Amino acid sequence: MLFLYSANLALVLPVDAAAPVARAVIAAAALTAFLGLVLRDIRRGAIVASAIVITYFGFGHVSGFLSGLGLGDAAQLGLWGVVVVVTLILAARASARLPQATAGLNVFAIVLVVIAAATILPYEITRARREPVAHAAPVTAATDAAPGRDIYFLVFDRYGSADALERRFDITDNDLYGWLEERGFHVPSSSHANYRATDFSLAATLNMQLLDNLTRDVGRDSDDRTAAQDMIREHEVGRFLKSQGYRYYQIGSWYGPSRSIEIADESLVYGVASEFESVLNDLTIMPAIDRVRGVVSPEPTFRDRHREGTLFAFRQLRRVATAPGLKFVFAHILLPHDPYVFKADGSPLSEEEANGAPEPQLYADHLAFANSQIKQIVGQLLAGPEQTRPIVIIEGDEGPLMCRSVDCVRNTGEYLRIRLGNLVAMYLPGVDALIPDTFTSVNTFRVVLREYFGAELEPLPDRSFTWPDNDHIYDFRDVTDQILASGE
Amino acid sequence: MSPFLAYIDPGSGSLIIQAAIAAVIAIPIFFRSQIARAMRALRRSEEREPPSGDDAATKH
Repeated sequence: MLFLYSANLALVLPVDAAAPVARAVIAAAALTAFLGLVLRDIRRGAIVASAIVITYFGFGHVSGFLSGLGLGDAAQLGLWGVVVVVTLILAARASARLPQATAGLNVFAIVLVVIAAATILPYEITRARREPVAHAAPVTAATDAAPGRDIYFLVFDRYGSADALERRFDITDNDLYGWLEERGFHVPSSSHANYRATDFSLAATLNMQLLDNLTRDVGRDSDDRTAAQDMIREHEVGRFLKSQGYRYYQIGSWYGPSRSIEIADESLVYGVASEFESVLNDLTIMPAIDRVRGVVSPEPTFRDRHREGTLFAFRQLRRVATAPGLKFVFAHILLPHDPYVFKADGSPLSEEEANGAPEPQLYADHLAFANSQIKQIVGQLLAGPEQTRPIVIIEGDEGPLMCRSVDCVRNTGEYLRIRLGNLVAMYLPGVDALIPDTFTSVNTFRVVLREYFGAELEPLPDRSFTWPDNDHIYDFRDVTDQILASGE
Repeated sequence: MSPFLAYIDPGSGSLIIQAAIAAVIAIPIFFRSQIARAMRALRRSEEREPPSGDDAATKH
């Protein structure tokens, strides 16, 4: 568990790992005490407890390797069961060798903790010493501004532009762009995200600024994404709208940065486990036990959470739309983002079915389900007279990944057009806003706040950025010209 | 095992390497008495071995 934290320092904060680590330590101590009583020797109890703890948390780490050798869940469980039983027998029979066995296991554990600590401590010390990231400057509204319209910001993760979907999956018949245009949405023909990752893209959009402050404050030689993610948790759009009397509803997903937005008045998320805990649970022995028993686990797997969390978000969106009062609703919905868990009609897709299908088909099915939901929700939101209709923004934070479940980064115009080509659709009732065809997401709320609140927010240059590798994530390189040139 | 498609990396390969390092360090302690016994047996067998012909020649 400490290891999982140390392997994900760029994404996980100490606060995320503290509760699961504490729970695991308490459970292991209780198990050791119990087994010590049963075996009438705390050292014997500790040895058996060690085997059980290693089995419980280590199962998922070697499961893939054992599966590759042809061992199914039942065989793997049997193998680990043998390990625990043999340990129990040896511990019960050991007498003279007990001290050295205990010493050996202690050294084993200490070495693992020291290796993890040697990774964690320097990283956390550097992070703690870092200067706070400068947040966006507060926006001021014109004194007579009072649009009186609800605002919906619906982010469909990895929903690409028409160009990106055609290049990546050869999808040419997606009717959503035209359907939205027919209902009065602005749908720029060559829209792009500013960054090819969710945290950066949302941080820029929700703070209405490019992320040069991160390059300056964190430095180019960093892999620490939490700085960008902090900008999502306290974003300027939410702060501004709250100051204007809006009630802020956050509809999140398992994705941490948009899951818990501190400034939201209501955070609506499915389940209680964080992304860290969800992966941790999936790595334990419990999912395999549930599969062998053929029972539905009380602890949902990551695929379960992806599916149920998405359906939950759609339900909440429809529910919140009926809530009285002026509201800002930001829903981050992980569609068509993988894992692929839906068929086109929204019915469940099993893991076996997903593994056996080509990704273009899987993505197209997720797209079809997302479209059906978007059309329902837009129909509900725009049902009233024009004067009372809300502002509705539907965007992808980025385009689809270049490879299946992996962003195989390339520095080519084709790659950049796919990864950065995103869906942008803006319903802006009552104003005549000019949305350029080469629109980028950083200007989304600059348009809204300028047109509806009189804020002095001129459009920023529509530029898109990449970075060389994940150890230099703030070393931004402007690739706008490369993108535009590759489309000619 | 389910493919992990969250942003959190299970890092299984690194864990196995770290566990192997820890095991290499811990095994000599775990089998301390057996190793000591084997070393003693090895030493005794060396002491019982007769001197080689060259050594015997130099003692003359």
